[in-house]
Amino acid sequence: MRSDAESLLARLGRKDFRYREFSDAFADMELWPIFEALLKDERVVGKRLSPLDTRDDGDIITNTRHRPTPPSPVSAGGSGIFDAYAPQQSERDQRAGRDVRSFLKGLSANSTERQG
Amino acid sequence: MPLILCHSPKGGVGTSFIAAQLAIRLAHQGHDVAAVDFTYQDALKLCFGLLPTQTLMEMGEATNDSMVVSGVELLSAYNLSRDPQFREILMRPGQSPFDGDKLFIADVAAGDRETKELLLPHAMLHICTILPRPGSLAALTKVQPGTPAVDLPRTVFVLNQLDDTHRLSRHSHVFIRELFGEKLVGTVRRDEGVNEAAAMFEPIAKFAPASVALTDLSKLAVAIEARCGLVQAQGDQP
Repeated sequence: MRSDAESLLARLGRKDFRYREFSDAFADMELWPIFEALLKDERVVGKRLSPLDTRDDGDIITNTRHRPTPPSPVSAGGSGIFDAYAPQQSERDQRAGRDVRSFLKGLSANSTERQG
Repeated sequence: MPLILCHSPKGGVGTSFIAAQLAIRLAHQGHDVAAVDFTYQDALKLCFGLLPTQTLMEMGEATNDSMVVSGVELLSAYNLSRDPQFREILMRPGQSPFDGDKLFIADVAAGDRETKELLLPHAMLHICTILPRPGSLAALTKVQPGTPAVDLPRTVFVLNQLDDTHRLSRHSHVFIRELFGEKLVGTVRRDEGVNEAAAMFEPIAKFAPASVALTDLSKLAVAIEARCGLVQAQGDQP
């Protein structure tokens, strides 16, 4: 119980209240324009890199002929054959929180966790 | 570098209040704390229950006297921050006037970016207080020119005057938490008891012992203490 509610009930001498704290549901959360403006501001979230900006030519332009390499064994933590195509953790972290869509996705996920 | 720098790009958000309350709680935890007022307004002392007519000792003055309130040594450094010699010392690489055992908590005015920039390299932590209001939120674009607010390594944020009964306040809390993650080190709920205590020149704990702000401030001090590694430092002492 919140300390302010506890102290108020104690002062009133009331013990017949049922206390319940309501969490802020995601549905109640609005993307106010001020929030959106901040999420689009490089001075707050940094430069948002587009897929073109993040494109690495080194993967495409090579001076040597590509030699096929034997498939590497699946790591202990791997869960599927497409793991190798998933972005690295640091890349995911960089992307997270840098655009409105991923930000809202994060909010939604957190809200589901809170409600769960 | 035992300096905690309290500065916000927007004035009137409670920077002095947070600096004072943090100093009081860290002193209560056993740290040797000095709260240093770098502002022209000279309002930090009010957060300690002093009167506007009372003057603080000047930092750097050779004297055996000191003013200690609620376990915190109070110092004024507005004049010192305008002293070219002091500014030169601050700009000198490898040297800091804040090296030592004492923990300094600096209160710097929002508009005094020059002093903030001079102190920042000497600070182990920069606390930026914000309010759940558009003016304060918009000022997040001005926390540190040249570096995005989310990427500032030594900057943490405190959301002050949070009021769950107001929609924008509630949503701002969710937004700021999501934006800054662990960099949001604490929230302090809005309570008129805080203002009333200040108007009475009395500590909050005495004037409004049931204030929700007290609980929040205690949690904040614990978080800052952990963030700065002060818990371990204190535990190392005999």
